[in-house]
Amino acid sequence: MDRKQIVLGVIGFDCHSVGNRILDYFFTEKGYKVHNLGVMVSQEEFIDAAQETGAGVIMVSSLYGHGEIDCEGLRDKCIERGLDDILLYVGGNLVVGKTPFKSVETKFLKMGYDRVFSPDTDLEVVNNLLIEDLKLG
Amino acid sequence: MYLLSIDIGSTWTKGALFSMENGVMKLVSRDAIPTTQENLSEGVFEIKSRLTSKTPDMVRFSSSAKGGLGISVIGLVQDLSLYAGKLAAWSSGGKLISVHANGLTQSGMNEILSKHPDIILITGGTDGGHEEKIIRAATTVQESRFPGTVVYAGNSHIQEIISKIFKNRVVVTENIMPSLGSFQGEKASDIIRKVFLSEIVEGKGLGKVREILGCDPVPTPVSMMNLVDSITRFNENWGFFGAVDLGGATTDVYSSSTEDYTSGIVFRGLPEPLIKRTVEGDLGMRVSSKNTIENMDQNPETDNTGIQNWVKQISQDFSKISQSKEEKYMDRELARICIRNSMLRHCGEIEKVWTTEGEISVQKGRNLKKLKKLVLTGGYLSQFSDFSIYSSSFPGLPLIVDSKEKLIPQSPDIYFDDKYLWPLIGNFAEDFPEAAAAFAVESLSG
Repeated sequence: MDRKQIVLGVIGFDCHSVGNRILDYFFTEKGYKVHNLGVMVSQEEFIDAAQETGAGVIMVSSLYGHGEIDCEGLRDKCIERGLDDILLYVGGNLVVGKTPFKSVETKFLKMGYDRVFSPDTDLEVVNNLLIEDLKLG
Repeated sequence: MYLLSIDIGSTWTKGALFSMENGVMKLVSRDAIPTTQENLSEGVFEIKSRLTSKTPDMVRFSSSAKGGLGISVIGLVQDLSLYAGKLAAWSSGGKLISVHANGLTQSGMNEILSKHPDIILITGGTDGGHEEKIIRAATTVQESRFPGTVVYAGNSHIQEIISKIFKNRVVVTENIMPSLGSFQGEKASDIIRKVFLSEIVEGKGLGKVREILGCDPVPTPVSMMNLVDSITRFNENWGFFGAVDLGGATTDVYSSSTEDYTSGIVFRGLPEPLIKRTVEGDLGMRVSSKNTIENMDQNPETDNTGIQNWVKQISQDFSKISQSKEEKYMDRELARICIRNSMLRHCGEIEKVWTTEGEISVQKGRNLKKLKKLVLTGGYLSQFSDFSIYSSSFPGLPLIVDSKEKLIPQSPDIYFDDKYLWPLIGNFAEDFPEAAAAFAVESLSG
């Protein structure tokens, strides 16, 4: 089973597709097999895809401010479906308003996400963390 | 030249003699007798001698007798590999005996053994994807001493492991879902058809028939698929059409459609094949009539007691034909239940959701709302060309269930295969695709 695979998508009723395409392009270039589910993806679809592909990480984007509601419970469902050690990355405009990123990060880490990214994150940084987390290095 | 075509159904054995001159196919004669369940070749011999005393230039035959081609499908995720497995089983002419998501449990295996499918199809995992549950399922199947044929069409990276588990007593083919959201079922369907010829024909009592007629049988649905395919390719204005084959044991729905997804629609799930066949083993006019009425709550106005009694009678005698006005009414009710439910299961649905960008439609499955032409065939439908039967199966369109709109044909033109020739013409759809397609359309009333 090849762990160097990413399940990618924009969660909830969110239709922002530009960032999603950039992520797809970037990680494909970096040699990952990217399974891009596109926009408006439900938690179940993320998990279905991860289960079928055996991907090492699910990357969730949320741009429209409802991230907190949409992302809650994904970790629990993964465990329920037997994906105990899959990595969960989340990034974007995760909450509405000017909440300091530190408190957003704490909140999402508590929900069971392994890494939380602010909208201005350099993708190289994400890639380096991913190599580390997937123990590819 | 003369072409002899025979179709052995679960209830009737049908035959037709066609002539073929200058690329034009015509009907010479047609006949049907009750299927000789004990010895299929008796009925075939009888039909053959009734149709012609001479030796025809070509012979083809199909069969759906003895339960047709029974397949159990094992997959991983319900909406992904398992659905792909079902599509592949249907297009190979099979009938689903049981389906198992998320691998296979011991009780799932016991269910398979008790239902005696001819084939177990194991799918699951994209190429390089999931392995563990598929390997475990394969081991469970191997240890069960399942007597039929096992076909493996899952994650291609573990083909060797799978072959080893089965000590090579497995037919391995390409993954039907090599990457997420793709469906490539042709190879698996071809393999299943070959398995049918090499392993299953004798067990279905067709070996003797093969001897008499001197050619290989195909499962009846394969003939129908070939015909639908030919019509789509060769007949103008028939690129987007459907057919319902309402039989004694199953209700099959076929549709050919190249759907382009209009903007504003988000599509979910696997892309649909150009020609899609679904088979409902719990919907039928005779052999499955007991199961059919379990789906009755969809037709609230049906007379409950009357239909229960009628089903009791026909279950004791599958070849019973409705005579009185009441019996005819009951058969029509059965037909409506079959048409309604099989069509609902064949078609997809659209849900409208509100997003920050406005209203968006999320579609799952096939959209046949604008389907222009619908052909109705099968023993009952061919005999009673009742043009209101489709619209009366769907009173009050559009149909919205749990705020999801069902994408069934809204007002198709109805055509009847009133001479009940389609499966018989279908037997020659591979040899003479253009002539068979033209003649099939010409033979309809509507």
